[in-house]
Amino acid sequence: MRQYPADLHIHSVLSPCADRRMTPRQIVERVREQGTEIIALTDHNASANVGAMLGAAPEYGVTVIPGMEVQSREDAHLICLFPDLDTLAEWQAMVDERLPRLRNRPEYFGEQWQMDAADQRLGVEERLLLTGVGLTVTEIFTRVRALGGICFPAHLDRPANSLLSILGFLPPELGIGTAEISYRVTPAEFCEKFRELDGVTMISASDAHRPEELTPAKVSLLMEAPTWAELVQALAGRNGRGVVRVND
Amino acid sequence: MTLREAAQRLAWREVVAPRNPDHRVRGGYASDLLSDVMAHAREGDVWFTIQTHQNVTAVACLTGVAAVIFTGGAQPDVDTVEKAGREGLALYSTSRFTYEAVGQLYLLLSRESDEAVSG
Repeated sequence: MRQYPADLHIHSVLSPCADRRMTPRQIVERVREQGTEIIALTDHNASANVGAMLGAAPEYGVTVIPGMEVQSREDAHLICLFPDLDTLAEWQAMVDERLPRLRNRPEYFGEQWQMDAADQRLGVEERLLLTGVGLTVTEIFTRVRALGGICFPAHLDRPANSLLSILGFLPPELGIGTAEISYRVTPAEFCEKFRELDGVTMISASDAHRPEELTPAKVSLLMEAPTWAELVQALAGRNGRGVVRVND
Repeated sequence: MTLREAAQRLAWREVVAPRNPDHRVRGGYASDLLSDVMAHAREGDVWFTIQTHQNVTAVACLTGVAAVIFTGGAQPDVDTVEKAGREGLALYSTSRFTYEAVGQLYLLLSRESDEAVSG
């Protein structure tokens, strides 16, 4: 058992708000330089670059978890992680069905690029990704779990798109076990304000949109190996696995 | 102006009946961010929102608002309606969007206070 520095919330060029340098290969290269060993690619309502990341990562010794940052009907941002590409594809199909039929306006929102593992541009996502899909927070948690995935609220401490700011408090019926806060606050100071976070595993992630934001990981996962099965146990704090805060 | 009168005159559709229909409406608040509502809504206000999650009921009870008006045809979730029924919290819906729904109530209450001054 050892600690694997982890960053479970990263955006690529598929997210309109991300820098054009956030290509799969550049991300894993930078991540590796920072000593991070396990990452999740979580583009807004989309996952077309996860395959390229999985292709580019082994060369750098980085483990990539397939993921997405989905925006609920209430506009809350939720990180969804999946065991493999096939499961993520099933989830993507549910999201696609409920994505409003709006076209991206790159001049306002930014470009949305699909890439391959060699950082070549494969195409452009025409649909507007930066919007809420027609699924409630409850529906998202239920469906992601039914697929065998993990779901947790993103950047709870932020004023925009945070489940806490939108719904006022964490709905107890969701049984939230893990939550993400940004690098701006520590779990201790944040949980002090929100007692309902007692017993919730707090993680920090970069939510990087630019290479410079890929800094050394704020948390490590204590695991036997960098695998999905181990990650699930670490986030749940089971069987001696867990989340360890770095430099707190 | 009582809650009953306001609902009648502005054609709000009743989803959950108020425990006290004669509650006096003095003002309101409009927001879809529940953290913002918790910070700014006042007791006795009428709250306009498109947010339909069941947390709406809890926040309404916490702040003591007299009623929640779902605007733009938004329909509260089943859990929201059930909880409101248990708590005796009045819920209404209107097809008008927030801007118009709020404007209508504002005009109504302004006229009432003008009449009170001149009358």
